[in-house]
Amino acid sequence: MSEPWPIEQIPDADLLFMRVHRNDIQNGQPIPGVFKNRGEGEQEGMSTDWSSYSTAEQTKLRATKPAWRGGVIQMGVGHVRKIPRQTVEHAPLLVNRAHTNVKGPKSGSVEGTQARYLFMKVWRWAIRYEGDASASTAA
Amino acid sequence: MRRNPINIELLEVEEPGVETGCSDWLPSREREMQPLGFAAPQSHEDWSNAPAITTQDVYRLAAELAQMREQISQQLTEIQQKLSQRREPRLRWHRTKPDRKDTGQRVLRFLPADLSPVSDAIENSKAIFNRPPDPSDDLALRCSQETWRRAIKILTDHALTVWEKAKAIIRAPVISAGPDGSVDLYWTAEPYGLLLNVPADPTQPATYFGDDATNPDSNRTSGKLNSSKLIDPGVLMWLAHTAEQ
Repeated sequence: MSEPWPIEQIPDADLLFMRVHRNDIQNGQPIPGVFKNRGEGEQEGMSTDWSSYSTAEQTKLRATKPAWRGGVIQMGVGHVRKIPRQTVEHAPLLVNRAHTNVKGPKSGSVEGTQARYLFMKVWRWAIRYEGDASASTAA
Repeated sequence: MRRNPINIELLEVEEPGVETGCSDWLPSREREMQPLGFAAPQSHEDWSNAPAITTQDVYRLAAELAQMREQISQQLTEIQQKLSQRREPRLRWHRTKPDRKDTGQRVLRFLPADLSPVSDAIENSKAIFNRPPDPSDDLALRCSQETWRRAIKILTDHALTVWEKAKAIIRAPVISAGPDGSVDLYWTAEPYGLLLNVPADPTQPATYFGDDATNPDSNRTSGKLNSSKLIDPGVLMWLAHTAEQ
């Protein structure tokens, strides 16, 4: 569901934000499994938010479960596009103009394993998860 | 170590006119010799013509050693089970961790104490299939105990081979659930890194990718693990890079 927002081209210099649940954080870092596709067919992809229409905090607040706890990572669009077979496609939703899919294999093949390995090199914390007591925004 | 002698009659090919120069050399039917992995050269010329030990030889021996270790491990487990049934005192294993009653313990190989960081990572990773459902995480990554076992077997086989062949201790990986019920083994030891993914479907091969951050375009490794081989040379080499110095 893309209407009513137009699909736009995303510049390499922009960022993508993605939530990471606390269960998927080990030793202060996201595990490689967080880089996975969801959905099927045309909608299949790794769900992220484009920094042009979302902040990291807004991405965090889009968690649908009230008890959700975790952090938000950011990735440079240009860095993601350098990962073989990965494409960045704006896929706005009615309730989220920033929604963007990162398409391409992420499992079941050497290419998928390579992609996730390289995702592990390009992410940075936007909002670090530091337990239930507090969370801070990374520089 | 003393080996059982074998009768040379089964091995020897007589060459007429060739003298050994040993006055006390027994007739062929009375001789005994020790089995060797490689033919022992008898002269300088033999040494120069002797085939070099190739990398393939090393890998073959490593695979054979790992297979023997697996067989011994299974036999020890069977003996322990029999002793337990007879209510006799249990054998004292050289384990890096105390016995646990959960079934996941059985997959733990008899790792030397030097590999305790790997043992600890394995112990702690049981949470990825024992984790209770979390209502706040409807997209939780999950895997089965069977997939976890396959991943741990790959890990221990390679860790032991690096330790036995190079006396090096690989770093403990991050062991975590991956996409579609798979299990990830992830190593980082700057500048080297490696991600190995074990799929949920046991008929599908594990895949891996790693590189050297200082030269990622030309110094990298990737591939699929051959299920018929315990050890993958590509993974082995990269894990040796990540070993503690």
